[in-house]
Amino acid sequence: MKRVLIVGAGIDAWMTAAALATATKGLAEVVVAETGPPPAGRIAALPSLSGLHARLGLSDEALTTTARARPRLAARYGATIEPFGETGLAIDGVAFHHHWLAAGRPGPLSDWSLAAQAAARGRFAPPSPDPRSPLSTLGYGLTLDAAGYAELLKRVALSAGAGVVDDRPDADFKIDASGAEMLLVAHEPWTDWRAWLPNGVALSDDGLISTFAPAPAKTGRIVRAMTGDTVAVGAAYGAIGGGDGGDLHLLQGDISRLIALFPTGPAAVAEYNRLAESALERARDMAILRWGDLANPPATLARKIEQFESRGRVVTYDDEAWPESAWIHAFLARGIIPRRWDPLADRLGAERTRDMLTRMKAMLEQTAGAMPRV
Amino acid sequence: MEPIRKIVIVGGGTAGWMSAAGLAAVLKGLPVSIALVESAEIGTVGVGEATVPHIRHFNARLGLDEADFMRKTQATIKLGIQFCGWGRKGESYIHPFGAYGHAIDGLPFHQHWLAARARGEAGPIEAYSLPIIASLAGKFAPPSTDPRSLGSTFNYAYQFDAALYAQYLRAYAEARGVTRTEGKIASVQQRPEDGFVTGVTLEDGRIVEGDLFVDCSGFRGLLIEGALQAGYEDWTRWLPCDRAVAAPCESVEPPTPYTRATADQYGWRWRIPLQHRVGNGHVYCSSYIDDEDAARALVEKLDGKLQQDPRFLRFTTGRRKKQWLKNVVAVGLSSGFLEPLESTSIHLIQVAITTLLELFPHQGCAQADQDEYNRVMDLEFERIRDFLVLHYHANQRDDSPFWIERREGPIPDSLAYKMVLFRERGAVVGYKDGFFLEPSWLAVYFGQNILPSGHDPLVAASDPVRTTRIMADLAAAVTRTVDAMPTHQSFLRSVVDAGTSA
Repeated sequence: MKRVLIVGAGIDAWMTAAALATATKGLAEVVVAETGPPPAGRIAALPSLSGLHARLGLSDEALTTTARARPRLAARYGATIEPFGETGLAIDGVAFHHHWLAAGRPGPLSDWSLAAQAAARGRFAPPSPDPRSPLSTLGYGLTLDAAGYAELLKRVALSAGAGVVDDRPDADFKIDASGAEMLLVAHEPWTDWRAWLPNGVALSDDGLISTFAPAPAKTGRIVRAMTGDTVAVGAAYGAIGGGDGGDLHLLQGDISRLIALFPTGPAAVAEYNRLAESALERARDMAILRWGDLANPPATLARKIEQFESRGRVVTYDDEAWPESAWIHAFLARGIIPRRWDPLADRLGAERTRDMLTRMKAMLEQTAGAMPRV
Repeated sequence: MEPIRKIVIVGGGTAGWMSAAGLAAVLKGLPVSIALVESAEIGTVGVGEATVPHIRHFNARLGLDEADFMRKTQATIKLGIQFCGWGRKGESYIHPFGAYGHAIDGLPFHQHWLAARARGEAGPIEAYSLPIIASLAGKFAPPSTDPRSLGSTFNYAYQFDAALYAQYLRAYAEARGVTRTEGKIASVQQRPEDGFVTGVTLEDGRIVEGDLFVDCSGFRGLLIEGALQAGYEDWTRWLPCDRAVAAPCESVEPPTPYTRATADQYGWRWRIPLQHRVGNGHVYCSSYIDDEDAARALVEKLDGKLQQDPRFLRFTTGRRKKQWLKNVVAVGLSSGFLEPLESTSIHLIQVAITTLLELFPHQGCAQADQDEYNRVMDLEFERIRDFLVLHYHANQRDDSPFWIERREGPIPDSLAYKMVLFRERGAVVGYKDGFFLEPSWLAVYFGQNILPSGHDPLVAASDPVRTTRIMADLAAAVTRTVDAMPTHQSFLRSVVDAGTSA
């Protein structure tokens, strides 16, 4: 393969170019045909983006200076918050939320999240790698200045050897990173999701707790992400309206998958499409749970809701983007509360469980209180 | 829905007593009683004497002491399985419990190995696997807990006497309140309105009642099939072996830290070395060879003196269509059968128990829980099935029509998909659920001469001189680490001696 052409703009195009140029190290010429102005405003990213930043050699300092990155500890879609990181501790092999249910739900579940406790106090500290420290349970995402972030990714791409082209030269492989414009793939058959997801979300309040408000979005996907010589990544492939970091997570997943299955032939194309579809649909299910219409959910989500509602169990499939704790908070935020819980959580007795929960919460409050203010 | 207060396990054996011990350990402190009904007259099958590393999680969850368990079950260590004659006659390879090498520049080791091999600069893939080199040298030391150490790059399981394991777990379960009833089951009682099982009647007229029944009655599936007619999905078009003959023999050498599976003309033979003897068996296809010839083929090739008369088994490879139906959960051979080529029998019992506990119907049997249980178990069975079919399909033998038919006959679409991707670029299809992961698939592909026509194109971005040096250093480190390990025999002796002195 001699040349890869990326058509698009902003974060979608430059994240793709930066990751591809870094991974291919000059094996193929990576060129970007820029199609639009840089993005504006602030955007949200999930904790999972840190892996990509490490691979691209993007330091916290560069993210802070150029992209004006700020940590965020939780998200809010409706009335309740959904913190990152772990919530509570499993006891005797039984997940924490069962104990919380057995104790009669003595306060919002997020009270047992260090991220939520720190956010409530306007405090932040990076997680600890020491598993014995309560700080190891902390997780955080970022909010970023979109234009600055795109600029930073562009710098990485150019220094890794990517180029900019004015027209669209011939290429062995083309990548549509043009977002909703779908410049190369607009003719592909479309599966529409607007019955489940009539809208998306966008960042409306940028703090340690980032708040998301409804925003217009055309949700759905093209049927095949990759054909013989073209692939659509990010929102050009499929959109869930995930301005909460979900979109960026999917984009990053598409790019990593493209690198892992860098084209060799029809089998790699088939596998790429299988995985892309499965990752997007799992993210779609979470989007529907968070801000979509739950009247008639897809079967995969219906099973998740049924299992959580009936017994507090989180069903996970291949290629899930969010950890179990994220699903638990999202169910609760939508008012889906388990009718039953693991009876093993009853063995301690409600009173002792409540005592233990009180102590656990006090410890988290103390840890949060000792973090620096931001 | 009525709350579950009494569990009845129908059948002892490995499945029955593993279920009893697993349920008793986890449900302790709850108002649930567990009864097990078995008959000493009915023999147990016990073909699964070799295990996979997950068994250690099961034992740990029960809180078993490893040394005590090993002494009481005559256990030896298992680092993998040696497959002899599966690609071509005379060849062999080991499927190890551990990965080959480590990622270089973010790409899987085997991709670099494929490129280096094309340059003529790579050794055999075995050279980069610590458990393979340790197996061949007859060495073992427990894995290091330091993730940076080469000694942490493998896992291990056991080879043990399944009958002794069942006895060991029986003592464990009975000490935790499981009651055992001796007797043969004459009939099964069902509720007329919905067919739920209410109890089993023994030949002497006693009735054992319960709310939830775990069917460990073996191939017959006394409850799941006999009473509930759950149905059976037959997989013999892909895995046509339908009989086995088993016979233990005396050991003539120190036990190897691996199981051996040798392809034979119409099937394959297993060899599982324990502390006190060697377990052997021959899995075969009855449309090609009769029982007498199959037994002769086994006995002629034993290491040492035959200890017991050969015992015969008949089976139909496949899966119960519903492994949980109404208030009956099938565990063990009643849930389906996959030949023990990759030692998955005990593993499937374990997955069934773990999944049942996760979905335990404390308040009664909800359809949603059964559906979820069946979804999880179906995936587990199917993914193991595909892996087993690969062993048969990927052969180049021309010495018997059996092997030619396996190579040219149909394979499941899900396996064909995996093989096409591997042939194109050496990539292994990934998934979250299912036991066999990338290193296992690589072991069989490479070991049976399935080599991809290409590899990951991004390997070319790495400096070949540097990659070759990293690979050579790794192979040297593997040799060095194995040289410093004690022998498997001396490790076993230290386990046994610790018991004598204590």
